Amino acid sequence: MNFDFQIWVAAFFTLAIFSYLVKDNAIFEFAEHTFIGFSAAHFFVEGYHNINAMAVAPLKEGQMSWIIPIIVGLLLYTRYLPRNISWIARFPMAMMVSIASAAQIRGTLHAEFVNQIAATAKLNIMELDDLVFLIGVLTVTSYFLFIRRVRESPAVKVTGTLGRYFLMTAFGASLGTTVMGRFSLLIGRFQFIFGEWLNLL
Amino acid sequence: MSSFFEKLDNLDDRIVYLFVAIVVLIPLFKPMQLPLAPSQMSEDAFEAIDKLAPGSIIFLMTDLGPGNMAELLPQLVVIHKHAMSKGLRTIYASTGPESPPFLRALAEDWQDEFPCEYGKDTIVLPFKAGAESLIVQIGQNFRGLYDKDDFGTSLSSLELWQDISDVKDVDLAISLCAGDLFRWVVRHIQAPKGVPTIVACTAVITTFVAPFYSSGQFVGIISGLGGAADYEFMAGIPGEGVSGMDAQSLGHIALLALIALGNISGLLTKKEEPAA
Repeated sequence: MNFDFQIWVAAFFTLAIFSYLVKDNAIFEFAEHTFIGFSAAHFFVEGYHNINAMAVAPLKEGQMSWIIPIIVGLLLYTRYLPRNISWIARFPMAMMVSIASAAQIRGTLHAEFVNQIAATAKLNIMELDDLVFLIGVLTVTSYFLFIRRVRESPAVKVTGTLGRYFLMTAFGASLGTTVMGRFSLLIGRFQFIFGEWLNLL
Repeated sequence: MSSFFEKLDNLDDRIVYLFVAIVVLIPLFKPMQLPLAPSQMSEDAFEAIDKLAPGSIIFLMTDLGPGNMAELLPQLVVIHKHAMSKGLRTIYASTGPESPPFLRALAEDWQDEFPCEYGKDTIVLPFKAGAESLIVQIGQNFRGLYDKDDFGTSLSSLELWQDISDVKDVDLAISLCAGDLFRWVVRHIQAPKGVPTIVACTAVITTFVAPFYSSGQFVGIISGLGGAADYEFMAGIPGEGVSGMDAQSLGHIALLALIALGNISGLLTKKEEPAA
């Protein structure tokens, strides 16, 4: 058995969380509340460290331009002030939303839209994999046609139904990989408890 | 027979948990060494690294943290060991605040097994906030974005950093992620710069990454603990991935059996219900 204090603390909290599987209990709630408290503290410290390292430290070194993002950031907190001042918070919020949107749209159009369509157009339908892929793309797209007359036509009803099956298959695959991920977490915890803590593996 | 399924229908959840726990624990105590068959996407990811000439530069970005380390850490470790064994050079960057300790450990923990000289063979860049805008900056001004490494050393004094003027100078980019990092990389590094990219990710997000692999935008995918095991198997470097695969496989079989039993039970009990 490992007598490292940190390992014991980690083992206690792992078992406390697992105890919920038997029944909701005080030890589980203690572990849950401790985790939430630690997470909040951790992200507060991380945030403080980031602001200090990325804005305050360069400012102290004479890089005065950092004063601008610091002021813009502080303006976010004006929302907690009286209404005649709180509207100022909309400016930094608008800046953040617009910068994030611009970055996303610019990259998404090329990488996730044009390139994906181009790759689909290059499929070799003489190969079964590619043919199934193409049928999947077309039928799933037809499932999302919302014009009433088109949607109710017999052909689109058939392709839409097929598209729905493709979607369900994709969701199934997604669930499968989720299960795989969850098992990995369980195995990781078991390896910790029986290996690192109890030295039984 | 029907009474068996009725009992199954009313089975206490805790018995299922216990059953799954036992099934997962048995191979951990007594490894069965079930045969591994690496997937095509794992093989492609392995090949992308394996075929690089000695001295080539790999740039790995990650949001690794305690919540995803069960899957991502074995991937990171085997990639690092494989890269060092082949004489490749690696630059690591954190996009998540919890990643730096894991990356710092890489530069120190396997020195005896796979010697690498910090600054010459590997560099750990510090965490920077910004999420997607950080990756935009890496794509546009990689060299100007960082001035010190994660240990506080000036990057201009490190030999490996002298070979980097732009992100295009790296031979392979790797997104080791549990979230949207792979999307940011394809948007701002792979597509505009044409840097060959592989993704090492948690199993949960594999279905979101796969379309980019099918389209050829990503060269390969290492998916979850299974992907790590595939990679360890191909690289001949056994680690946590391979050791957990027996348990993973048996766990999946147990779950499949439970799903099948649950569905059969559901169908039979539904048929026996009197018509309303």
